[in-house]
Amino acid sequence: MNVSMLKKELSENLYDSKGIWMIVAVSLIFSTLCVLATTIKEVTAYSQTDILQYALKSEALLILLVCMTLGAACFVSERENNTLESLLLTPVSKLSLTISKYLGVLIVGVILMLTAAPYILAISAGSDLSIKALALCFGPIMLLLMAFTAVSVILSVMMENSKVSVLISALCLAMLAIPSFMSSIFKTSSLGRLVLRIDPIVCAFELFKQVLTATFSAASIIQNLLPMVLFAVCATTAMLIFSRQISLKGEK
Amino acid sequence: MIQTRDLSKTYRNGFNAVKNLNLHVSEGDIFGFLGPNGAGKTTTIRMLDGLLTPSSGSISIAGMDVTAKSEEVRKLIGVVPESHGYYYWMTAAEYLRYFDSLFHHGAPNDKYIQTLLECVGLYEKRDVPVGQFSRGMKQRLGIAKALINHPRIIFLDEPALGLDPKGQREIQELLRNLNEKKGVTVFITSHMLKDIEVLCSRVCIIKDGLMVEQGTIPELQKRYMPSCTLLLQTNDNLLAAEAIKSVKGVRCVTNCGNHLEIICADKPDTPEILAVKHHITAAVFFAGLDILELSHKMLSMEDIFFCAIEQNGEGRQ
Repeated sequence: MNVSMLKKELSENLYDSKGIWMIVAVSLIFSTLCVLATTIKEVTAYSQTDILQYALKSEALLILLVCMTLGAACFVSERENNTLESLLLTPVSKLSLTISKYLGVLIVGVILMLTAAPYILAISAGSDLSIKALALCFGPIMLLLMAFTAVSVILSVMMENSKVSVLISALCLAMLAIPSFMSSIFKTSSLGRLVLRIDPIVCAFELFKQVLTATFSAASIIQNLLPMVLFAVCATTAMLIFSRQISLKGEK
Repeated sequence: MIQTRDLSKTYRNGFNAVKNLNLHVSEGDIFGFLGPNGAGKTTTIRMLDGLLTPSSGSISIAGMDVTAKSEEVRKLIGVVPESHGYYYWMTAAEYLRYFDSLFHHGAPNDKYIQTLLECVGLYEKRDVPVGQFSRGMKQRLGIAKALINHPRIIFLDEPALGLDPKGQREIQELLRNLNEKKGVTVFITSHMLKDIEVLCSRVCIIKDGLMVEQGTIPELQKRYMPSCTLLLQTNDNLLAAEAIKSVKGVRCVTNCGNHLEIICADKPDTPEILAVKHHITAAVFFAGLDILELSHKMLSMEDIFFCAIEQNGEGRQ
């Protein structure tokens, strides 16, 4: 991994107010949630664990959406802007290039997580949920971030068009997120139950619920963590393998 | 310096972009690589710089096989691609520092970057974002980036594309200086045949992936102009044409308005041509006319290019 390349990726991902807007967006959403939770009567009726769950789910989906968009554009935008050729002509290997791009997006995700952390702490203030909430923030969400970023980088390598790459990345996220919002329907069939068992986002949300409501056991934690870990490992490994496929526009 | 042997490239869709290309470029050459659109020039350059793997054949650069030792070869070469993108948010100096760090791992060599910027005439604009550069400035920055790793060979794919005449001349002078003062071998593709004529010591012309000609410009001029053509300008061209028609060794005289084109029977640089010129001079003076100009007509690169493309329809292997 080349440090200069990583610095350049971070600068590019955060340049031109992009980074500021992302941080503003995260802050706005969480500020709104905090305001709603403390001022709107109907929302204040919700328990602290419920609000924390909403906050963690929002954080997860928002960060995944941002990072998948950045990841989906990382190689394809270089190809479209004709800057990929110059990079491939340096002694830097394709693997090193891929890892730098991946880490560049991952670090943006971590920055957004750190932006959301004070809000999570504020929402969980006055209870013993702060540490659990932070652990969930930097644990399962981090695993999901690693996995989905890898998927988006793979799509960026394979696609020739940034719009298609970003669209497919968003669809991948949507496909895996939708079961978590329709779990009651999915539970009615055996296939649906299987999907709920192996879907990493469903497992993450289930883990949030179990940890925050203290209804977890070692077995349930393993059961929910395993799909996320496997997904992260497989996606990252696939990304490293697919790095060999990096090519210029129209080469195929 | 650059040697290819039966170099071929067939894309996955079955298209034969390059067929059995045999190139030879010596160290210190400025080598022009010409061809119509779609001839395979960019494909060839991409194989030479290691971006594309040949379907068959071999490429050797400075004695190293490009496919086997691509990383070592990349350290020796600089490339200015045809479609060169830039990171528009970076300044010129940042851009060069970035690529310097990719080649050299570690702190960038600011002194060398300053020298490069001065060499391409961008030192004053070193802190300006590349997005604000004109096309010519971007092209010069691209050349500076290609020189960041002190290459022995620089590949340029259409470097003068879209440049105004001033920009074209600046690029020409830059390349000539690089070649003469730093001994860099230059491999250039271009449609600006006048630039090629001025710059290049050797050229190769390809068509439909096949080489149709290779050699120095004087060699190609002799090959495509089998007989000597003289240009004559007098104070009365009509009278001069009449006087010259009967001179021994003159095959045909054409009045082109402000000068006469005299096609001789013999090849240029032969003793017979010297005698023909003497006879022509004598005939003009005998007719009571003044000779304003008498010179050899040299085939331009454009003439050679079109002759080569039209005559060698199938290409040479």
